[in-house]
Amino acid sequence: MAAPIAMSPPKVERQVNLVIALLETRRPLTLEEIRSRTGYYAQEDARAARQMFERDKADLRALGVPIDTRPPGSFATTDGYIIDRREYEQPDLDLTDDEATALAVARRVLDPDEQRLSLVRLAARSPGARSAGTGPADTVVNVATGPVEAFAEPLTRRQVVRFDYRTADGREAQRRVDPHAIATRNGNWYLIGRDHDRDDIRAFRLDRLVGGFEVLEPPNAFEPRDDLDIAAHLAVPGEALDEVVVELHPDVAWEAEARGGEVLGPDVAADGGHGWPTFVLRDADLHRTAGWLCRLGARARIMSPKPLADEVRDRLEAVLAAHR
Amino acid sequence: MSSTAQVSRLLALVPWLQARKGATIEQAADWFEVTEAQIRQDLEHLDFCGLPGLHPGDLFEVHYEDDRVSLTMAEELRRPLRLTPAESLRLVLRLEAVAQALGDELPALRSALDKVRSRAQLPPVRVDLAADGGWHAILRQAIVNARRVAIEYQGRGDEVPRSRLVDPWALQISGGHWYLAAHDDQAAARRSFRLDRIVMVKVLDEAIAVPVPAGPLPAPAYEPGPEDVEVVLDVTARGRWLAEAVSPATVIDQPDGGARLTLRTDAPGWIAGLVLSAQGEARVAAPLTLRADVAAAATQALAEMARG
Repeated sequence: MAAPIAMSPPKVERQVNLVIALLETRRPLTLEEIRSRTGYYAQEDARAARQMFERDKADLRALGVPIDTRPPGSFATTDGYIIDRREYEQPDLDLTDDEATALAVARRVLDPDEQRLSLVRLAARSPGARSAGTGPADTVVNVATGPVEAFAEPLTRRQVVRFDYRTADGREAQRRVDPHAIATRNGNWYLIGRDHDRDDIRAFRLDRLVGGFEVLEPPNAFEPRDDLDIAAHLAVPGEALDEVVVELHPDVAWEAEARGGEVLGPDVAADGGHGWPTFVLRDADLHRTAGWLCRLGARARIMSPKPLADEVRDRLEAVLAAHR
Repeated sequence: MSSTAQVSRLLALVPWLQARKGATIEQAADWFEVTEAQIRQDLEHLDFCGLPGLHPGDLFEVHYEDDRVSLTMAEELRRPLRLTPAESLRLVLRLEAVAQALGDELPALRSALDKVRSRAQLPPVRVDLAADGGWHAILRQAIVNARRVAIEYQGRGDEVPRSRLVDPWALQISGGHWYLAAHDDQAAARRSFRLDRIVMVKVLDEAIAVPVPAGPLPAPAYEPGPEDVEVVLDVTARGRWLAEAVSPATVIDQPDGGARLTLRTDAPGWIAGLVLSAQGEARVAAPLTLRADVAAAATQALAEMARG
C-alpha cells in the first residue's frame, strides 16, 4: 500500500484521521502543525483550507467529539486543538452479557433509528452480547425528548437553573431551581427540583416555562437526591373520594371499566342495554372524576357522594353561564 | 448515507471489531443495521486510517479470512466515543419506556439502564405510560401470529364505540400513549387506535389480508381532513391549561391573562367535552352550533340532576 496519502482523500477518512491525530498529540496542535503531520488542509488557498478544517471540526463536534481549543504554548498567538482522551472515551459500563444483549434487543424497538447507534456504542466492548437479528418489530417506542434535552447539562453537572414560570392559574414568576429529576406523564414533561424561594421540592411543567431558562454557575451546586419519590411530586394535590357510585348509559359504560370501576349490575350485555348499569369506583380523585362526569353530562347519574354531585352541578352551571 | 453518519459508525466499528476478533461481515452488518456492502466500504476506509503521516506501520490493518474480519494496529480508537449528556438523557428516557413495554421479556434491561444512567451521572427519571386498557398482550400475540382482529373502538369524533375489522401491524408508544397501528378494512387505509379507547378485542381465526408495509411506520398523529371544522375558544387565565390539551394552531394573548385559541379538528364533540369539564373557564366562540351544543348538554345534565 502506497503512502503517504495526500491528494484529496475521502472526507470520512480525513475526519477519522483528524480525530486520531488530536487524540494522540500531547499538546495542542495549530492548524499548521495538523497540516504538516497529516498532509490534509494543504490547499494553496489558505482561506479554503481553513474553511475545510473548520467544517470538519464542526461536523465532529456535532457528533460529540470533544475537540478543545487551547493555545499551544504560553506565548502562542494562534489557536491549538486537542482531544482529551479521558473526555473522548466512553467509560466501560461493566455490563454482563445479558445486560449488553438487552441493550442490543432494546435498540430494535427504538424509533427514530439514530438512537440505535448509541446502544451499539455502549455494547461495543461486550463481545458476549447477542444481536437480535433484523425483521419487523411488533413494538415501536418513540419518546419525543426534544423539550428536555437542554436540561441534560445542568442535570449532569448539578447546576442551578433560573426561569420564568406560569402557574396553572396564569400567574408568572421567576424561579430558581436545583434540577433533581425529569419525568413525563400524559405526554407532558416535568422538571422536578428544589425551588429556592419556597425551599421545597416542586414539579414544573416544561411547557409552562415562559421563554427559555438560564444555567447558573458553578457546577456541583447541590447534592444529588437519588431517593426522591418522583411520582409523589407529580401527583396533583387533590381530594380523594373513598367510593363513588354512578349509573351510566350503556354507550359510555366501558369508560367506567377503563377507570377500574366495578359493575354492581345489571349486566349491560344481559339485558340488551336497556337498563343503566351501576358502577362503583374506589379511591377516585374528586377533580378528575368531576371533570369526567361533566363531559358525560346526562349520560351519567351520580348516586353518591354528595360533594361530587355538588362539584359537578357547580361546574356545569359555570359552563352554562359562560355560554349564555 | 451522510458522511457524518459514516464517521460516527466508523468510530464505533473500530472498538466493536477489536473486541470481536474474526467477526463476520454479516454480524457487523446486523449490529450496525447496514448492508454488508456498506460494511465492506467502511473497512476499505479504515485501511486508510491511522496515525498522522499514514506511513505503512502507522495504518490500521484489516485482515480478511473468507468472510471473517480482524482489525489490528487500531489501538488509537480502542474505545467508543463517549455519549454526550444529551445523548445519554435521550437514551435513558427511551429505555425507560422500553423497559415498561418489554420489561418481562428483558429482565436485564433494568440493571443495564441503571448502569447507563449512573455512569452518565444522570439523576433518576420517570416515564409514565398511559394505561394500555389491558389489550397489550392479546394484540401483540395477534401481531406475531398475523391474525385479523375485530375491535370495538371509541373514536375521538364518535358518539359511541364502533366495530372495525383490522389487520394489526405493530404496537406503538408515542407521546406516552399506546397505539395499535393497523390496516382498517372499511377505511382501506392505515389507522392508529389508542389502546385505552378500545372497548373490546376479538382475535379472528383468519390471516391478515394486508401485510405490514416495509420501512418504519409513521408515528400516530392528527392528520387534517377536508371535513374538519375550525373551532375558536376563549379561555380565562385559569383555563389556559386547555391550550396545552388541544394544541391550537394560534394563541392570541388577552390583556386579562386569558387567550383566544384557534384550532382545526375532526372531533368537535371531543372539544365540547373538554369545555364541559372546564368549570366555565373556557367558552366556545365559534362555530355557533358547537356553542349551542355545549349549552344544551349542560342544560340537559342539570335538568336530570334536578329531577334525580
